[in-house]
Amino acid sequence: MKLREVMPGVYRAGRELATVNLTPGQRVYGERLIRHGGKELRCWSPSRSKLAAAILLGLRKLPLSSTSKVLYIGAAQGTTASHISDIARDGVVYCVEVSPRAAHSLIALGEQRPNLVPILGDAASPESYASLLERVELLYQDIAQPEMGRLLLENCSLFLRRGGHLIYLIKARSIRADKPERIFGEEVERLREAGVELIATMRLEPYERDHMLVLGRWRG
Amino acid sequence: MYHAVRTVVGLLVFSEEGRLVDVLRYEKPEEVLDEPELTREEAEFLQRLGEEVRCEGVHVFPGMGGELFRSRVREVLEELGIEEGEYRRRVRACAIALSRRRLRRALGSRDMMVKQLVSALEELEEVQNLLTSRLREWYFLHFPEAAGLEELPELVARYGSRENMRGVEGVGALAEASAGAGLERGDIEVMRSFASSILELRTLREELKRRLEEVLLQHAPNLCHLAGAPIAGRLISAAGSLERLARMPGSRIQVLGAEKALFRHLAKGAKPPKHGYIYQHPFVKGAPRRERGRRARALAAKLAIAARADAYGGRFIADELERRLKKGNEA
Repeated sequence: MKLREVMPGVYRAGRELATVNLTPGQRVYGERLIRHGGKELRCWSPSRSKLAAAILLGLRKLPLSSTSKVLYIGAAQGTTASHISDIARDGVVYCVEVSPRAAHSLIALGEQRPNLVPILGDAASPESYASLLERVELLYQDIAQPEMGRLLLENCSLFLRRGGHLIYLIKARSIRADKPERIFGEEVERLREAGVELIATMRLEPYERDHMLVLGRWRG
Repeated sequence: MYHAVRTVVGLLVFSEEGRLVDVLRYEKPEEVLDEPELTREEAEFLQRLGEEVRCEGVHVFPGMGGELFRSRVREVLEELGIEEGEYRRRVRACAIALSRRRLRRALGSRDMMVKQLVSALEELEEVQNLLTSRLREWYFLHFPEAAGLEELPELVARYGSRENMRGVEGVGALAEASAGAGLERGDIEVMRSFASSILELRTLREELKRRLEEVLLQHAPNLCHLAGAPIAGRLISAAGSLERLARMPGSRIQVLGAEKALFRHLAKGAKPPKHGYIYQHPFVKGAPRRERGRRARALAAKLAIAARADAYGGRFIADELERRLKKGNEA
């Protein structure tokens, strides 16, 4: 298999993506491990991770480097977060998750990975995690809350550096039962009004229905 | 005025100009960070500064102190003489410890117990129905005339074959003239065990219901009295927690459990649902059809009040609510 580094820290072979395993020998969610040039890589499945889906669907630029500081809101069990932690290996990934059930796995992941900070907290009350944070370069939000757009902006203004990037997963179904296109339009407009410079928007079909990923730059 | 912020390394105090003035270092930050008020140590420390101090997370949120720290972590750490790597290790350790404490608290909440009990009860009922209809079809081979009887599980568990039911009130005559096949003993025995298991599930269900009621009478006495334990439990479970239920308007509580109809209404303009889980309440269910919508609305409004009293530590007002509900109904 021929692996090619398509973005810093992200490898691709045909329809498959992978990242260099920060903790060799360990799997996070049962993903396949591959040896490549003396390194161990973890396959990154687009059906498990919306960010992987977006990359396969043509997202060209990932605002992530090996030293990035990231705030990940809605990290769940840490599937996607673990790959971000692979990429930002010398940086730090602050992961916030509200559900105790998911946070349990996330805490275990934080114990394994030296650059992953697991936090059981609620995006709707940033004071529950503010004292652990610093301003970051990338804010990634994937939560299922009707108020997700407002929360994104609130968290950006608190924790995202000016000129930093944001990745916003819009889950139309979680906002309300309406035509997804209409909801996406409103959400994008909301970001534009808040002064976010839009870099890319993409629907995630066929991997996720009624989801859109927005990549933007925060000028706050 | 000074601006303070709690961080993993300690309570940092900045001047109006953003200069780091002083710091109270924490031994175990995870024990301080979730405190809603200043600890005694913090209060004394701030008092000694002789200046008015606003602390983020205690007096304000977001606060200047937090902003000053978060936007220049590196500089502040340098001033404190803490290596960045060391700081990150401490942040991670603290986050893990703090999250663990929160996890323990969350898992210990009564809402979680209510949710599990409600789900267990619902699933148990499903299984019971499934097994009972299996028994009916199965026993049909042997005794088709009795397969539709309400008390079939009891009869099979007690008597086994239809021959043993001769002379038993209600089924005796049917047993004499049955068109069913004569079965081997092994067949009858296994059906009998199957029926006994169904009966055991019934006992289990009663136990679950009893426990749910005990838990709810403590956790949400007003709601439980007014709605009855099964409905109160379902409402809390659907809302996510008692507190979230308490924040819902009556109109939302009215249609909890009728999501399918509600979204059909919102998406396609079909008729809005009149009631969700609260339909099971005798006050609604027992009403004439045209009265149900009105009663569901009134009951939901009172349930909202009950939930708020329970969530925010109010006194027992369920009897008063019930009286007003009945009275409103007469008018």
